[in-house]
Amino acid sequence: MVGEDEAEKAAASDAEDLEWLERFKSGNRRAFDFFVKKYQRRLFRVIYNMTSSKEDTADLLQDVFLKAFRSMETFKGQSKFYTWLCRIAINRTLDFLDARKRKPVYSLETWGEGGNVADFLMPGESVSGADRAVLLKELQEKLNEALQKLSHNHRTVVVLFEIEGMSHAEIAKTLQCSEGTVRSRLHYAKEQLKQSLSQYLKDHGGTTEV
Amino acid sequence: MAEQPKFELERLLKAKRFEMPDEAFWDAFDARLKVSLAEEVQPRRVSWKRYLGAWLRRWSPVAAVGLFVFGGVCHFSSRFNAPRLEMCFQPSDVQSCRLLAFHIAPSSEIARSVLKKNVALTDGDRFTF
Repeated sequence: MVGEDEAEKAAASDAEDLEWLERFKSGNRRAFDFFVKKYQRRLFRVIYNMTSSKEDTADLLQDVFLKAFRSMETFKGQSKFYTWLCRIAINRTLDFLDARKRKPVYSLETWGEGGNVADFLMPGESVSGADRAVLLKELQEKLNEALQKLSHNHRTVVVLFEIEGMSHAEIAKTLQCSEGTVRSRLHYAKEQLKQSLSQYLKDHGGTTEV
Repeated sequence: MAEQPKFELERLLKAKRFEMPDEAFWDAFDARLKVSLAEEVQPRRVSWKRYLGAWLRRWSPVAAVGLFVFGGVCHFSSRFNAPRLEMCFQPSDVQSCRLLAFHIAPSSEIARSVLKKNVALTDGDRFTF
């Protein structure tokens, strides 16, 4: 039932996108604001987790929306609008990462001390507030370091699947490759991440089983 | 001592969804994007300097080739030999003249003086230079 609800929501969301797209194509340029509001946070997550820099992400996100604005007329609706937008974002980000010679400067968003993430990661844990904050910060740093060690293609798949929650099929469409390639990259990337984080997870009694 | 919490890789990765900037970031982002989008929509005003520069960039190669060809033609035509000018004036009209054959004759001072000074001609005059 939950799956059906989600499918219905997704279908309604796609229909809504097409409706606003028609408005845009009929000359209402302000219709673009709808897409910005709807997708800016999702795209931010994708780009940000690939670059690990808030400043670079802001610039890249601007570029992505401007490119989308210029190319909206060419969007034929053969894929979901978000898939199309996400492809622009990923291509732009990969170009940026390939061109970036300097070592990336991490400017990470903090998870916060007592927010949702603590409850998500440590449900029912009896860790005090100060310890919790230190632990979260350390955890965040380790995780980002491990992610940045992955190649661009492997990182992209991990971000889209594990963080963004896209399906293998959606990722394959977005990256224009086969589902087999997506699965293979994901498997390899997770192995790499497990290796990078193994010691840390062992120290904290965690598991690296996938 | 508190028990260490347990972490799983997938859960850690999913937790990265919580990394999101605050509202101030989005306000600044939206404002900047609005300006960029407005610039996209507005027809760009081109200053006369840029317009001239673009025009020159476009047409200067053509102009250069044209000048080169023109210069070449002038240069080589001045070297033609056998300047010969023959004018015959018909008896019926003193002022009319018919150029039978005309070759540029830069070296012929007489030809130049006749053409420049518009020498008065009489019936049946025939000049050959």
